[in-house]
Amino acid sequence: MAVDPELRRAVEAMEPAELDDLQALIGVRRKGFGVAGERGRVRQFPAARAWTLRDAVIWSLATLLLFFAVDGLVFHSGWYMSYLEPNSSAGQLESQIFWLRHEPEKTETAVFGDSRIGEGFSARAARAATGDTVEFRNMGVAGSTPRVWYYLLRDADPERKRFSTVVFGIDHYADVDGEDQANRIGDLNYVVGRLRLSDCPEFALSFHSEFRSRVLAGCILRGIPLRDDLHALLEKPSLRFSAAKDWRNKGHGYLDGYSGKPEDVAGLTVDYAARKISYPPGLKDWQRDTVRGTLLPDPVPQLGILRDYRRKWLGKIADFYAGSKTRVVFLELPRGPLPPMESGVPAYVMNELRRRPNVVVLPAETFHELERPDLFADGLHLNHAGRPLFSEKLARALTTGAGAR
Amino acid sequence: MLFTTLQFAIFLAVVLGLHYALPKPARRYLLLAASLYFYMAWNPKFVVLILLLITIDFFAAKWIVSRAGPARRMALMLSLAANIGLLGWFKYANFFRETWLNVAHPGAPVVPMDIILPLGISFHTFQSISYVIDVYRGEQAVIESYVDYSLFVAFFPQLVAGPIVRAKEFFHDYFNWSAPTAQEWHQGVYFILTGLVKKMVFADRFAMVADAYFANPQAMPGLLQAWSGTIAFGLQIFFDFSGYTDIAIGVALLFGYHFPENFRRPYLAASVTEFWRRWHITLSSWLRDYIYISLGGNRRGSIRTWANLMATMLLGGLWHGASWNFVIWGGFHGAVLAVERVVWGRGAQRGLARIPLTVVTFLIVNVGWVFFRAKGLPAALFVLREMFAGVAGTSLLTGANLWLALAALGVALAEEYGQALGRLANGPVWVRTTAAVLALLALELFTASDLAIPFVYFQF
Repeated sequence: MAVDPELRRAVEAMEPAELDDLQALIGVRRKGFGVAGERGRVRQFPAARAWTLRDAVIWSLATLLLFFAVDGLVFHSGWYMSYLEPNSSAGQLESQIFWLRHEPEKTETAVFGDSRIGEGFSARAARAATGDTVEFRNMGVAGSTPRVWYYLLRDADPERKRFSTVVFGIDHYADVDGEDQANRIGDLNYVVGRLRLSDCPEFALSFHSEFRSRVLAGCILRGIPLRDDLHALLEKPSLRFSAAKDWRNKGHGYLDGYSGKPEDVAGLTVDYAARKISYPPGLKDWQRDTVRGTLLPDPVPQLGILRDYRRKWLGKIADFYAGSKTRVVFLELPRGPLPPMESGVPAYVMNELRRRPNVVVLPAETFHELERPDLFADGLHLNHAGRPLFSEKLARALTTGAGAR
Repeated sequence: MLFTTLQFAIFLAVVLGLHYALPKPARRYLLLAASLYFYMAWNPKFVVLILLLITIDFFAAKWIVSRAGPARRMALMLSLAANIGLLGWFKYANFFRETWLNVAHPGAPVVPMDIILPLGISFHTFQSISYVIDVYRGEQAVIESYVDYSLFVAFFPQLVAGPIVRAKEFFHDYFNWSAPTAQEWHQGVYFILTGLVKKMVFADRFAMVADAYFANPQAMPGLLQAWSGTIAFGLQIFFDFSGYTDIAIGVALLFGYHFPENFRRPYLAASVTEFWRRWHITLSSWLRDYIYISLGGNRRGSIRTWANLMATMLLGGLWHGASWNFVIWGGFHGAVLAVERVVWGRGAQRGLARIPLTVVTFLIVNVGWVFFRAKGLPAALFVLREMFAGVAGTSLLTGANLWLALAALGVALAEEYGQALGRLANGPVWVRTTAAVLALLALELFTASDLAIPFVYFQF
């Protein structure tokens, strides 16, 4: 088609925006989309084939499915879980599962809990205290909670016969509200590798409403909670692969040989009436902070939040072993470097659980004599001196009072 | 209901499903109800405000076409007074009061009035104003149906942060509606995905750098800190706002509506004049059509043209927020536009000369962003002093952020000169599918933060 040269020059001299307006005006393309080349010229791209809208919608859904498939292949197949950072929340938990699955099966007493079990319990010392008649396994995972223990336990002993006794270290029997554990979004980061798709609705609903959609998304798309872990892996992949492999192969041995923290808080005193703590000289900030948090926590309104939470998750643990030969034991850990003030809040959940046939609740005072500053590294954790004492005492309590075998 | 939330994804899926399941006549009611629900999800009581403005403008336009002489002008004035008055009250009352009190009683403490800024008021009032003025100018037929007009103003993809859609654009699609073609559907999906990636992967990451710097610039003195902190904000605001716009355009496309382009790789502009043809295009064209041209444009000599440019940009600055920083930002751009007009006229820069000019333009625009982002004038002046007279220091844009910035530049160049995204959206099915899956994986794995960082332009 012949075009007036003057018109051609005028069009070619136009600014992109002006050319867009002109194209929109004369209907060459609809304004606002389309593919504009340099200075707004439209380039036509051949369509692959004539698709209908229905095809396009089906393509969208198929693309979503493909995305879920790729995500599943990486994060739900177990491949990625074997290369987690060993010291991460999920890494600690997955290591426990890995060791259980790759070590020879034997009848064991498994001790679950948070870092207080991890630091304070020695499977080796406990075994020795029973004259090597009972095998113990430390399943403590720093920062874990009853909700995490349930999902860990479920995969650690899927047939409910691996453990003769499962023991859970509780910080205090009294259902005293403090941090709202139901809303600990970090729990997702621990159990992300243990959650099945069918768990997602219940797991998400166990959080308060503001977190539910995030938890549900993270449960389905595991890459979301594992994002930071993946970024760290991408920064130094070879280092990660070797660290993960080393930990898988030798980590359990490292933990078994661990002797505990060397620090202590000897000389610590507290005046509960005056709400005053006297620290011995030389304590670090992390020691002071945990001591204060344990001995003089900020008062919190008592609304029964912890009671409901424990009823649900400790109840599910007890339910899991109902009708099995495994005995479920709860114990109150040494509560701190000094005996804390009594809260006056009843131990509702422990009193309910102790009525179940397969549940043993050890007397609360069993470990109170270990509540001494020289046996604690800080406000929460037993030290290298407290660790063997607690382990031996626990082994004896289990073999005599709770029938561990 | 942010575009980046699961709540919005569910809302969109439900509304889309219903839209195509319902018979055509019922769809406008569905879209209007969904749009009002979307608005009320933020604050239900302000729906009264938007309905009030819709009602005033709807009847004002009808009045304008049914009357002659001064009555037409009076209806226009009534509509403008309602829109500008309400916008002024909600957005500028505290600003003007504070300015007045500071002048009248210097040093006295000023307690701001408790006024909540309704979401998207700056956008939907401009959209309404353009309709009434277009009707007055005889460039737009009056809309006879209240539901149709309400949907134009309240249509949820553009309600809270644009793009500012003109009535002729919206109603062209509305009255000639046809289901999106497969190609349009694909483009819609691509716009949504690229918008989400822009916002959640790019903008939110740069936001962390910019927020850390501008929270207390005095704590990070140094030339490189000032430039990198400001550039981080420049990148944040671009990815944030253009990401929002992309999602809005994509969502509208899925419903069969074609929104105008709002960003065209603005940081590749070789002059500030060109920048404004590429940045927030629907606002800059609105300001051009309804303020600059109304003031006389360039038809009354050079001095008047510069004055008109400056007035338009000052108002444009004030539109962004009720603070002197925004006014200065607008004035800064107005001054640069006037200077460019003297130096280059309206000629475009071509060839290799574009490269240094693009770099200089980018730096000039970033100087402007200092006023836009800093908390108050003293903070802005501190940052500027550091930018031009500070000790060298160290860059805040490092590691992953630097790689992201370079990747963004690569994509922008590929799009500018090779239409990369267009090729992708129109390529073979395996290319399209792979690209979409990669975008979804990027959203899953490289989103900057678990926190929902609000879109910057929501505050306007």
